[in-house]
Amino acid sequence: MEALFVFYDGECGLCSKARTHLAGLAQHVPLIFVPYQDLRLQAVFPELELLDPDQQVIAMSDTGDIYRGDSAWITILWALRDYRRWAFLLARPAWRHQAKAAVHYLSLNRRRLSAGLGLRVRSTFPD
Amino acid sequence: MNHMIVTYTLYLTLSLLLTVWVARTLHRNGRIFLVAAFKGNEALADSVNHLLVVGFYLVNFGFVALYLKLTGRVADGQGVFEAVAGKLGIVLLVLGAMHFFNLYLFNHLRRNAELDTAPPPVAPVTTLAQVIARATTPATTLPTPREG
Repeated sequence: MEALFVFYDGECGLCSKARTHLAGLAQHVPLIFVPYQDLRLQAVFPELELLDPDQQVIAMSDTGDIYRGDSAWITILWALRDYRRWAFLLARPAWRHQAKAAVHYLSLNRRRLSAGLGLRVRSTFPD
Repeated sequence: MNHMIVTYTLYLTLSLLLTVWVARTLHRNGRIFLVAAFKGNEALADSVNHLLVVGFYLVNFGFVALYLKLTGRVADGQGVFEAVAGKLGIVLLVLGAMHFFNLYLFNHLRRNAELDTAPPPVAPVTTLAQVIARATTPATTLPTPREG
């Protein structure tokens, strides 16, 4: 894998904050963040809509492997140099369930959490 | 006095022999771990292996030297054996601890190297090709995306 595309919610403050944070970390595999609302993305990859990117974060490798929700998060951690260990830990059956539940909760409540934490989208779709 | 000299001589000889034996074992068998850790770079592995063994010798010889002094007097043959056994026991435990620390180090280096090249720990939920195939099939047979 040479690159990992991350399709996130560009209208969610929490997601944008997470994106800025993750982009600043050392990466084994380069992460390319694209908000799923980006019109250019919709033009080149209209099939993304089938994966319900508004429900869960989607990650796609340059080789075409697609990860969704907790799988996407684990793969993003795997791509980060200092968090690869965590990816392997969370992928274990004992932790996977909790990871899935946490990611599901965050995805479901991301807009409400963003409002509660006072996180706003700083600029419209920087990518 | 004579018994003291015998005790010291026996202690030093046995401790040094044991240290050399453990160090050589580490040197011989640790190499393969280091070659794996350095992704087949044998020159680097041999260099690190040698440096580790030098450190091992220094720490153990240092300990053996510092631990030489007997607190009580050794009066007879029985005393010699008891004193040497007591000293050697501690030296062996220290050697053992150092040995396991080295094993941990070798394995830690190897695991780190494996992590660098490991594929993602989770399987993809689908692939781009499948999604495109799904997009081109009629809407009535459109399957819902699997949950990650």
